[in-house]
Amino acid sequence: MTNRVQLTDLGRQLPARIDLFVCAASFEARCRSIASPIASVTSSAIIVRNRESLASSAAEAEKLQSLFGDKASEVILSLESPTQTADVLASSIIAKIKEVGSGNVFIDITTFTHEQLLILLGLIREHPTPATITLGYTSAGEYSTNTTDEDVWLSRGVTTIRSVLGYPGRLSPSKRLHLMILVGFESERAQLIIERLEPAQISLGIGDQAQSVSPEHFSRNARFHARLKEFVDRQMRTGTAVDTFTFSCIDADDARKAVLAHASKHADSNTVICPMNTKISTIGAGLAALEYPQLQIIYASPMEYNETGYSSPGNTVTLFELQELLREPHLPQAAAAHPSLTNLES
Amino acid sequence: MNTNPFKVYSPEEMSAEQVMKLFVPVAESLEIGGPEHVFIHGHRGCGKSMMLRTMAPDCQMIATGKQLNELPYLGIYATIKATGLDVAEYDRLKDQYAGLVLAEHSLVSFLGSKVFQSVAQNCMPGLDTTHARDEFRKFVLQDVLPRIQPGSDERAIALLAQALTQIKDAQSMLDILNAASAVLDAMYGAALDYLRRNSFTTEYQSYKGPLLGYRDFLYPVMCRLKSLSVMPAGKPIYVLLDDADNLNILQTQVLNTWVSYRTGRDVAFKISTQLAYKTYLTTSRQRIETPHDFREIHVSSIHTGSSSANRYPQWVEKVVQKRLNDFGITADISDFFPEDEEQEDAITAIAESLKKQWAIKRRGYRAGDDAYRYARPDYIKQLGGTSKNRSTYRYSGFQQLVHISSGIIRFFLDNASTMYAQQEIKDEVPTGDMPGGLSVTRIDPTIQDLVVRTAADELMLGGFDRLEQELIAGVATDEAKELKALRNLLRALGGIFQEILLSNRSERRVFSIALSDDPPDEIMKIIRLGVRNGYFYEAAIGTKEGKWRTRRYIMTRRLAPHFTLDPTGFSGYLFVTTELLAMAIQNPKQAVVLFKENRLGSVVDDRQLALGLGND
Amino acid sequence: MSLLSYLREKIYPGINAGLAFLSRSPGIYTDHGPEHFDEVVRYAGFLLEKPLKDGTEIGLGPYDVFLLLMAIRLHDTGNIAGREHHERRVGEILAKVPNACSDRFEADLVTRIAAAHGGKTEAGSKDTIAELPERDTIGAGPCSPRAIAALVRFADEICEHRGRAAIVLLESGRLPPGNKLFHLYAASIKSAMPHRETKTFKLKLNFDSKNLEKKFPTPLHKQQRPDEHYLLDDAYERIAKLNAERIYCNRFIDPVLRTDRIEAEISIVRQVRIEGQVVTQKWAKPKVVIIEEQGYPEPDGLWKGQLRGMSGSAIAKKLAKEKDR
Repeated sequence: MTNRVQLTDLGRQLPARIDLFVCAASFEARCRSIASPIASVTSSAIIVRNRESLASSAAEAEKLQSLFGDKASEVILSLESPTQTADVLASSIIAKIKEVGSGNVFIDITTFTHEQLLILLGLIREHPTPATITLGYTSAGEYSTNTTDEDVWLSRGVTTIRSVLGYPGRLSPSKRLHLMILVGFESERAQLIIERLEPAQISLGIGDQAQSVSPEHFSRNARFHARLKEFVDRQMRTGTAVDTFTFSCIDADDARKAVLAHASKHADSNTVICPMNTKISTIGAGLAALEYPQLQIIYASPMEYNETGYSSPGNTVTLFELQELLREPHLPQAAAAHPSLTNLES
Repeated sequence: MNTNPFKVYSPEEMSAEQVMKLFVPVAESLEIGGPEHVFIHGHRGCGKSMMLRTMAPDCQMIATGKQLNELPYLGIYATIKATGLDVAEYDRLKDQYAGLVLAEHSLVSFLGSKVFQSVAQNCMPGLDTTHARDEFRKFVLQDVLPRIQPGSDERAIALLAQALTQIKDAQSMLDILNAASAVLDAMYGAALDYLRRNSFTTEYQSYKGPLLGYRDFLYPVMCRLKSLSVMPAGKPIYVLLDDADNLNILQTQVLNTWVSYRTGRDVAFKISTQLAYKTYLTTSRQRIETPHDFREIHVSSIHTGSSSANRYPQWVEKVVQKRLNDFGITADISDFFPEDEEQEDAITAIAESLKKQWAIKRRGYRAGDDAYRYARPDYIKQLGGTSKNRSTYRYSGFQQLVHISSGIIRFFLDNASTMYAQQEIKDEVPTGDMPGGLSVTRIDPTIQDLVVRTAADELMLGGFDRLEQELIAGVATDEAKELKALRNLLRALGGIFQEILLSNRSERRVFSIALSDDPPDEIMKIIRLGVRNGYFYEAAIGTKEGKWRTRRYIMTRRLAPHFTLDPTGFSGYLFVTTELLAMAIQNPKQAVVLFKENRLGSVVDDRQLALGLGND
Repeated sequence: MSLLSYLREKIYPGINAGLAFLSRSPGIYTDHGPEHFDEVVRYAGFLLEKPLKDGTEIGLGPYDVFLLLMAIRLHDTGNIAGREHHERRVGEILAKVPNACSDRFEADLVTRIAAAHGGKTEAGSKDTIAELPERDTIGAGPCSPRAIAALVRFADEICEHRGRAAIVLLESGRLPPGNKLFHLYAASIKSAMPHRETKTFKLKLNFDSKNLEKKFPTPLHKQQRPDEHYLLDDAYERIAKLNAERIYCNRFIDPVLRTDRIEAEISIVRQVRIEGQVVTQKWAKPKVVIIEEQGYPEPDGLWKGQLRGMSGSAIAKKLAKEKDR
């Protein structure tokens, strides 16, 4: 079950003791929003950082470190090497989760990259545990806080596009490519992905407004929404086969269902998913692909981020337990839900 | 969805009729047939995919009017998509024997499936007979399936048995081909399943599934295929492999190994790349070389070559006219993409004035030439010193749009497609197809200008830049750092070219640089990155005396609107030293300042030189 | 069933027949039956024996030895379907025993190593060993495929002896003419042994003079058109080939395992009747030939092919042309 709470009420929603807290240090202050109120009830913490952005995450990492003191250890991942990332996550977070046994684990997913989050999800699924794993996501207040409304940006350019480790899909050479993008505010990156992949069919996923995260009254956010709308409209007018669907940005299970429902309409194609919205919906996409391994998930690494003004922290946190979702039945019941996706040889 | 005559279609999605309706040959001299392996290099959108697609049998039957078995070759068209063949898991196997073996298996099963898919999609007009069906059935049952060793993989074994029954009982040719394709899809899938098992472990995973190789499967199958009476018997197969840059390094080495086999008379590979082919080494670390192992063609240089001044615009005109004709528009292209009349009148007036002055002073080779060279830059200069005023210059009219597309047809079509869509919105055209033709018959100059300016700004990787210095060190991946360095370089050069345009120099339409010394690897890496990503085109120049040659890099004219440059031609180039390049990469603003102070770089009027390319 | 049991039961017994009837030039080939495989194992053992006993590092680990044995056991099995391209049929045969290898990758590697003992690459070169990786990693650990393939190849090359000849058919004159040279040569081998102390391969050939008086037809599969050779000349060609294989295989194996020279002792004997008894007499003093790298190496200049178009005169011409322009 998904719970949206005010940050100020967070402590009341969580168990009295957190055996392991995991978060990713970032250039965003949001990376501390959850840690701050619950550091005192945490036994141990792992702070994840990226080798390539040590400088930009240094300030927040230091603050996180001082929140947890001796209880925290740091692990360094690589933005350039998914296998290295997976191995480090396995030897640190997964190993620690095993030690925790039936205890409580909290993972703040807010500032992981989409790729790292999906890898972590895959690892957790690979190593079943009796621990209770709660995922938390801090919403953003305003985006692109350091620009005018006209010049809003979050990231620029794309360096590489690759499949996410653990989600290679099972693409059939004789089938056409169907690209599903869970579009966020980075429509330029979405455009580049479409250009590079040249899919036969494009499905643009738009976050359900009723299920969206950001309050609309921020004018910069409104500009992002307008740009997104222009992007979708342009695709519809200039692209050859474009479809749209909606998904939840705040409920992973709903997002999973939306992804699967739409993918099953294109079961005669190779479906590749690119989640670019909230980390919650990315978890949803990951759950969908873990359940139906023929779905591939890809990640497009941006050239640069608007580190100075990416976002301001919001006031709400979304919480949900991962184990419930991972306990979803795999193939047999899934076959009933989406029969067209289950024939792995078709 | 509305009808947009400039929609860019993926060639593999197009029917043969559509292809042949829209296709205009790139160049008469561009010939990639013949019993040899060929690499075709060109930026995305230059027309190479379309070229390969036209070599598929369905297109050839339309083009030649011949039956399938009369064609001079059998083309098997296969596109390699990004993340299609290459998945992240290969990184686990890159230092293991299993990596190369699996890479070969995946490439063989991928192409094997494509063979049958290609026959199903592109050859059916010649195969819809009982004789063809029976011959194919026999071929698959006797020459294809027995070559597949499923190993001890129960699923693969069951699948093969199932396919055997399906094919024996199949009533139609399509059923046979689909079943054969499905078997190979499954063989390919077995590799992916194995790779998935390796995702999250460093422990060796044993593999019991099928393994297919080129020598024991793909090559003999293709040789047997082409000997069938319904196929172009005795003629070669051309494997038309599109976008081979999307192969990972292991798969690339495997492909190179196949290229090293002298099999061109039976099976020849025609491989397209977007200038990012990963290696020319084979699996045994030998290098394939041209011309011994393969021939090479650079499509981009054909469009930007010395004879291309008129050829490319003429080609684009033909392509665009075909598309408009398809929708019943026979009007002149310049009416569909009109210029800004007021602007062009003003430029013409400047040109007339210049002609009169120079007729008196006898300056320049021909007064007409000089007027052309100087009028537009003078007009831009006259608009005023601030960038805001210069942004009133209109990039409109077919000629400007063609030049801005820099030799890549895709860029023209993409922009035209967007312009059309925006014109529809402006004209408040309702959604849904319009019966009886196009809803838009003319694109406003303001829309043309807005679209190319937006595209130029996006190409500069985001937003309007004020030549600020970028921090390059320490905060990004290596790739990101290099792209930022490239952006700095472009900012510096764009800024310098702008300064030249607005100056009083005799040659002001400078769009390229020539290297006056030998820059170190770290700088050349950035320039090569620029070439690979379509920001620069490479050429060579030498003096009339032929005493020396050096490299020249022409900046893409797609950036002309970003820096308010004249895209309609260029005839000078900037001689740069390592010092200028290094400064440009570190501090573009400073590089522009130093240039203005005549401390870095010199402009050469290349009318005095024998040019390698691109002179208008 | 283990691989060896399968081969001994199903494959080895059929190889001679396969060679005889299914080759493009049918006939009686020298023995390629079960003993041949045992002997190649033995000869490989001879090559490895001394350094292993001495504890010298030979650049091969236990897994390499396993791969070596597997490859030897398989290398000539493809002959069961005829001589032509027999090395390419190893994979088919190995596939009959799915559990012979720990997985398909290992099976693939064994197949490629075994196949590299002969034949040509797809590009038409005899350099089949270079197509293998020099060193690689597979499930059980690191291995040296090239070195192993070189040992298989060389052991197979030196494993030629009198026992492989069809002596009875030779003496009764019933061998097809095109096959005689094979068997006569094999029958003339008195001994063939690696001598590890001196890193020498010692070959002793004993020719009966009656076989040296006339020419014999060359094996059809070795010639484009029918030809005839004297047995001695044929023997010298084989020794030359042996030396070529020595040099080639040495490139890939540890210096400790290399064979640095061939010592060939050539004797000619004749049968004479003395007082009613047939006596074998030396016809001439045995000639010992040493084949090894000696003296100052002759520069072969083969590497210069990589500099095509860049000879001194070619570059000077180009420069002169530029000046004239």
